[in-house]
Amino acid sequence: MRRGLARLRAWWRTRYETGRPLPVVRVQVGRSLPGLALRAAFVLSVAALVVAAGVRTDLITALVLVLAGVVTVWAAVRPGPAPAHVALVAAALLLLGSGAAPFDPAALWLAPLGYVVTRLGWWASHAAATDRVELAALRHGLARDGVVVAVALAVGGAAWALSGRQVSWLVALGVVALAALAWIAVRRDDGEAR
Amino acid sequence: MSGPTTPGAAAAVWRRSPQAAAGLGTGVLVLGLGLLAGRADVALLGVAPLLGALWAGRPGAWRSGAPQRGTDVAIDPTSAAAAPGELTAVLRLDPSPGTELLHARVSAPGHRTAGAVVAGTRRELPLTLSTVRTGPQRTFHVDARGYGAGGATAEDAVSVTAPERLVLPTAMALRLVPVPRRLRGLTGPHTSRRLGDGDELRDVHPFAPGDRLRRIDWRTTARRSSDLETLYVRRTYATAEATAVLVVDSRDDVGPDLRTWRGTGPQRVDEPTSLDLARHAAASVAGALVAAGDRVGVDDLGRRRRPLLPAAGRRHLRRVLHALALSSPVGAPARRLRAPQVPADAVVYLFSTVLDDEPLALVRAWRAVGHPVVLVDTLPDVRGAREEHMRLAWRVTRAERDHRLRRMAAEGVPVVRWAGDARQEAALRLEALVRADERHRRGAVGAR
Repeated sequence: MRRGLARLRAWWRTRYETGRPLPVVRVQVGRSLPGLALRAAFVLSVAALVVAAGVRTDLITALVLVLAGVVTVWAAVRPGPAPAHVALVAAALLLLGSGAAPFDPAALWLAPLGYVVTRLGWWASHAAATDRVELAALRHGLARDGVVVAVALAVGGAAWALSGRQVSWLVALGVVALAALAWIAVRRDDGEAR
Repeated sequence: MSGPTTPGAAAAVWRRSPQAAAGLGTGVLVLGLGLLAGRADVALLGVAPLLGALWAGRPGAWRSGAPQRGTDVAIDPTSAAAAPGELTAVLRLDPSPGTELLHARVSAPGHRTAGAVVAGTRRELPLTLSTVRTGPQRTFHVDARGYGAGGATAEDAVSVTAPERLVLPTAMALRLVPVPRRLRGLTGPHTSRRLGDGDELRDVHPFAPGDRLRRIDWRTTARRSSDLETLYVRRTYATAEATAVLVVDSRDDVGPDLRTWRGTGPQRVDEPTSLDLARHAAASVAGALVAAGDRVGVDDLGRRRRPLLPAAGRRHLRRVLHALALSSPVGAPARRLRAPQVPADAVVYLFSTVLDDEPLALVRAWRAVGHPVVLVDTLPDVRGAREEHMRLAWRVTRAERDHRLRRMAAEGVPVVRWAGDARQEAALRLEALVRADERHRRGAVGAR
């Protein structure tokens, strides 16, 4: 009976099995995780950012959920910087409707979360689902990301301390700084090879 | 055979990535939105992406700029022996200072691509691919790219291809293989029918001019000729060696998948083709013959070149394996007007798929001049096609092939199948041929 089944299986394989996956080239790396894990983390973080910003507003919950769903599906289907930055802008727009004006303390954790979303968006667009990402590679950029987030939190802390006060020169300084940043960005990103 | 190290092009160019531009745009937009609305909390969301896109440094190198040179990429074929069916190499990555990450995508013909992201330091990554194919093989191709701090800058991809490797066929242990009945030479592993120096006793004979004194059998002499008028000597059979020519029909190289027979689709690397089976079979037969001290030569029906002349010895076996590995069709082989010349009294092993009539004609030509021929059928177990026209074409081709094989068998040519499960029985089949020959020609020497 068993032999007959084996023969039947062999016959079936010989006759019809043509679509087997090809073997994979093996690349030996250190401790790693699959790119799929980064993609999953990206999708979750996008959903978390939009929903977390949405619950700070008085908008209809259904609308927030629809918005979060659309961005999350986009992030799942085409992971990359585009859904990440759209999620960040959406979170900023939702935060405008926050009742805790002029400074919602939730921004102090929404800002790091937003940065994490943009970084995960970069990883998700560069590491394919089957790629192996070494943990050492993830750790390599961690210190820099930590500095960026720390600076952002310092700025946020200062802004929170000054919120509610009339500091007109600070707004003017912000506008000037924004213009300077835009100019630097345009000058550096002129499309020429470096 | 492994080639030298292949260096990668180091003249790559670093550019700001689109992600950095998107980060800048988003940061400015969100910051502006917050400022216009007078909401510092909203503006705060844009600070980190903006800073991440603009700052090219990192802790320890705060003012570090973009990397200056491209990543050096090289693939070194490893000299260490890999596991059977595997090819290995080492990927060496030497990035420019300031590179945060390295992304390498490694591909190989017939394999799915693999990717790895590693830290931007000097690295050596072992690469492995599995294949059952033999002969010249293309191996690894690597596209590597470095990324600057935060992924804000990216390098143009550097592509490197490893040199072609020559995979020698492996051999299966065979105990007995058919050899010609008529042996040649005065030395060798076999006992011939001629008188001469050997171990096997032929008879006891009165001493004659030319007989060596040390061959005198004193006991027999004392028994038969007590007055020592006649001396008796022990005569033995001479030893001899067998010659075999392995003829590989490399005119077609077909796999189990009918769709690849037109030469358009890629053949799988985890399934041997007819040429791989022919190389394996020929290497196994050559190994058995050389181990027994016989002479082996190689000829290739797919190429018009000088055949490898028969010789014996381990070093010659290496030559045979290389010749087998290099046997492959060059262009469209023209029809042979006459069979390849083989030494007198040599047995011919023909490794063929028998998909056309030429092997038939060759076998008849060899047999007509007295060469025994063993036909080894190297067509792999063919998978049926779903397409009706292909199924029909295969039915016709298979019927013609079966008819040729039946005719061969009817003419007394032993046919040994070497594909699929039949490969395991091939050794027994060859041994059975030898035993049958010994049985039918008891007394005549002709098999090891």
